[in-house]
Amino acid sequence: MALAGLLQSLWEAVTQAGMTVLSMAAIVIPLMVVVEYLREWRLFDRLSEWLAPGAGRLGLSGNAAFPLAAGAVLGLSYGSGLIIESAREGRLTRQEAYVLTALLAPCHAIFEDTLLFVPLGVNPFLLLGVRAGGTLLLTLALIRVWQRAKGRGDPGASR
Amino acid sequence: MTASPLARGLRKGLETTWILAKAIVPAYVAVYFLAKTPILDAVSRLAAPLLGFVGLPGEAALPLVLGMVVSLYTGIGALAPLELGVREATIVAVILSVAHNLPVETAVTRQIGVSAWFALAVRLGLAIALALILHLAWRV
Repeated sequence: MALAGLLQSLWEAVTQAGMTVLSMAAIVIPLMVVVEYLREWRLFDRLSEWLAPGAGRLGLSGNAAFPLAAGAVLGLSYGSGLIIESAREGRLTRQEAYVLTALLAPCHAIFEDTLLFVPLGVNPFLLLGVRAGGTLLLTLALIRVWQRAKGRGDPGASR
Repeated sequence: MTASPLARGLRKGLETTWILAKAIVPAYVAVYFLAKTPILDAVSRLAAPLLGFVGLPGEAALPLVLGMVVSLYTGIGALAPLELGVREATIVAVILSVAHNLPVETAVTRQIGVSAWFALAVRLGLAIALALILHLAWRV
């Protein structure tokens, strides 16, 4: 009797979890197809050109704009590879590495991470707006602090 | 070798779905059963004073801890069976989307010469600040 009840509960839990996974698959699979087309048509190059002026205002050079665009949209697994490569080849300054971290550590894979919460009733525009807006404001504040500290030594020093 | 973007996207989508399933199903089932035991109640009561600060019930501690330590997907799997209201689910979503999978993702920042403490402080600080703002601004 107890075993039957347990199995019934287990079945309920697994089917409900399965439904959650299916509703996310319905989001993730089309998203990945769209992302592959964006890569195929090299839209990230264009996106990073488009982001370049804004990135400049954050103290990022053109070298950092492409990893930023890739990381923000595709996520860290792809973006961090590009960033690590740029850092190893010495194309990122120390301050740029800190600015990129402040932007991408809290805010990457913005479409996937945001849409995954939609099946739970979360408004994606609110979630993305709060996350991206908060990240940008915090980064701007940090840049201001670093610039003020610049006269007194290492920018972004937090060793 | 050179599969079409459609084929590549479908394959990646299916791979991601499989990763999602592996993370979500165990977390969902575990929390589903925990919710039927006094354990979740005990955890809830312990966490309630802390989480009440950002407008969350104590049981939200489970998805928050699992999401931060293990992965975002695991956190979502643990969040779903709790069936929180939209307001609470949104606050958890903001915290977890900013601060998830911390051990693995923080290791990445050290690769580019940025201190792990900096990345952790940015993510946890921002997560708490945004949750608090949302809690205070969202009046139902």
